[in-house]
Amino acid sequence: MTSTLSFVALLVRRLATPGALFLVICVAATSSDARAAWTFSVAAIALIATVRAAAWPDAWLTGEGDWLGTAPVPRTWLMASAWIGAALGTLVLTAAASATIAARSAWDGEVGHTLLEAERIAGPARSIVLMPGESFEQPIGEPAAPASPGRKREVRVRSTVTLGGETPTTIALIEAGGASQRIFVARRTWLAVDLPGAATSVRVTNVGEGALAILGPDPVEVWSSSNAWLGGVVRMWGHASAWLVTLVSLALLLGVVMGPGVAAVLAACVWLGAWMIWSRAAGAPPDWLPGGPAFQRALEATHEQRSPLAPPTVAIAAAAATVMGGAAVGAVLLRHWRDEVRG
Amino acid sequence: MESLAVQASRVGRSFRTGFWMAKKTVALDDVTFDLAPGRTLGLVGPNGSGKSTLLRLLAGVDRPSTGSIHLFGSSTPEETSIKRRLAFLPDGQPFPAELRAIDALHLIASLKGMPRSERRTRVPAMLERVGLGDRARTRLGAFSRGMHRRFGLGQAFLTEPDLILLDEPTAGLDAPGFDVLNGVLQEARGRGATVILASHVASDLVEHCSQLMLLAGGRVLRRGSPDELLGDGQTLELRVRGSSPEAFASLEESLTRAATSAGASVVTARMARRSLLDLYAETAKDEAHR
Repeated sequence: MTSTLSFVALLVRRLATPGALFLVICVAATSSDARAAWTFSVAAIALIATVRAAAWPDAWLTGEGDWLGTAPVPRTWLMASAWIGAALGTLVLTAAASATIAARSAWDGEVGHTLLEAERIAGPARSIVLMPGESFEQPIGEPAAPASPGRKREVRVRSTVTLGGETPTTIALIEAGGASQRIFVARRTWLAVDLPGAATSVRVTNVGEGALAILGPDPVEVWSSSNAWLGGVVRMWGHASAWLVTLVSLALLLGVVMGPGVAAVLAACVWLGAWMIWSRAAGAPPDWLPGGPAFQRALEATHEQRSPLAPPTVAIAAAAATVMGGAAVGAVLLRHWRDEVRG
Repeated sequence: MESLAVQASRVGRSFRTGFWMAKKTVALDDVTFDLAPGRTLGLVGPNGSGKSTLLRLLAGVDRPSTGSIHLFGSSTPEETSIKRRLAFLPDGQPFPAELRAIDALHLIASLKGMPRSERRTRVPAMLERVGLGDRARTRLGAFSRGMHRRFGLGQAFLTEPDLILLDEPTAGLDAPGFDVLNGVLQEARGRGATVILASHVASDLVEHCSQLMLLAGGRVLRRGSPDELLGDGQTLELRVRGSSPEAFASLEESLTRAATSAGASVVTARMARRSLLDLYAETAKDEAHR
C-alpha cells in the first residue's frame, strides 16, 4: 500500500507541479470574466494532462519502467496506481485552477449577493407548443429561504418561437405572484421575471400571433441570490474534472498501443467524434458526454453570474466507466513492459 | 544445499519491428546456461549481441518468446517472492528525473517493500556509500551520466539481494565510481550473492568475474573462466615493485637476455602507471595540505 501511494505521489507530482505553476500564471493573467478563465484553464489543463497521460505508457514500454518492473509490486497495481496518479494529478490541477478563479472572482467583487443559485428546476419532460392565446402554468413551490433586503429571486422559462403561427415571431407574457413581463420572442430565449415573495407558480401566455414553444425537459428554473460561491466553484470543478479524467483515461489507454503524440491527438478525436456523431444523429450531443452540453451550460451560467448546476449523474457515470475501462484494459495490456509488437 | 541460482533453458526472444510489424528481429536464440549460487558471471559481446535482453529476461522485466528461466529452483523471475531477492541495474537512466536522489531512493525502497523505519537509515547511508551524500537533494535530472550510474548502483544494492543483475555498470563511471562498484561487488560476494554483469568491454569485468560468457548475434559462443577465454598461453606478465630506476634498467637487461636464451622475447617493458584513483587521492591530499 505504501509503495502504491509512493508511486501515485510520483505521478501526481509529474503532472501537477509544472501544470499548476503554468495555470496560476495563465489564470491570473486572464480577464476577470469567469467563463473565459474557466475555458482557458480547463483547455490548458486538458492539453497538459492528455499529453502527459499518453506519454506514460510509452516511457514504460521503451525502458523507463525497467526499475519498476523489478519491484515486487504487481504490475496491475502499478497500472492502477498510474491511473489514480493521473486522475489525482488532474484533480489537483483543476482544484488549483478553481481556487485561483475563486480568489480572482472574490477580488473582483463578483461574488456575494450578485451570484444566483438554482433553487428549483421543474417542468414537463417534453417541449410543448402554445398557440396564440394559450397558457402554460407551472407550480414553483415556496421560497427556499425567507425574503430579506437585497435578496433577489427570479423565475425563467426556456422558450423559442416555432412553426404553426401566423407570424414568425410572437410575444410572451410571463406572470408570477402579481409581477409580469411581456417579452418579444424571435429565437430561443429565456422568459424571465423577478419573483415577489408570495409567488408559488409561474404562468406563460402566448399573447402574440406566432407559435411559442416551451422547451423541455425541465424548462422552468427558479434562481435566488446566494453567498455560497464555493458550492458553484466545486460544481464547476466537477464538470471540468469529469471531462479531464475522461480524456486522461483515453490517452493513457491509447498510449499503451501507440506513440504518445498520436495517442494524445486520438484521445481528443475520440471525444470530439462522440460529440459530432451524436450531434448528427440526435440533433445535439448527449448530456452524458463528459465535457458536453452540461459543461457548456455550466460555462454559460458562470458568464451570467449564476452558480452552475452539478454535473448530471449520467455524465459522471460515463466518466467513471471510461476511467475503469481504460484502467482495466491498460492493466491487461501492460502485463509486459515491452510487448512483442512494440519491442 | 540450495539449487542453482539461475537456470536458463533454450531461451529465445524475438521482436516484430518495422512499420507493418512484419520484420522479425531475433535478440536471443536458444540460450542455455546455469549458474551456481555465489558465483559471478560476466556477459561479454559486441553491441546488439543480446546481453541487455538476457538481463531483462532474468530480471523479469521482459518475458522470453521461447524457453524458460528459473531462479533459485523452480521460480520464474516474475514471481513477487523472487523479485524481493533480486536487484537490477538497467542500462541508461530510467529513473524519475524530477525527483531528488533521496526521494527517488525512498520511492524505490518503498516499492521493494522496505519498512519506513529501515528506509530512514538505509537510504541516506546508501547515498553516502555511492558517493552521492552531498547530492541527496539534487534532482536526478541534473545528474551527470556517472552520477546516474552511481545512483543506479545505490538502488540495486539498497536491499541485500541474492541475485544482482548489472547492465553496463561501468559505463560513464569515473575512477572513484569504479571504487564504489568494486566495494559493493566485494560486499555482495562476501555474503554469497550471485552476480551477473554485462559489458561490451571484457576488461571491465575480468577482475570481478569467476566466469565469462561470450554472446554474439543472440547466441552463446563460448563460456569459461577469464583465463580460459582471455589467456593466450604465450605471454607472461611480471610486475616488480620496490627498486630504483637504475636497478630496473639492469633487471630489464637481464630479463631480455634470459628470455632470448629461453627462446622467447620481451614484448613490453615499461614503468607501471598509477591508477586514476590513486592520482585523484594524491591530488586531493595535496589540495588539503595547501
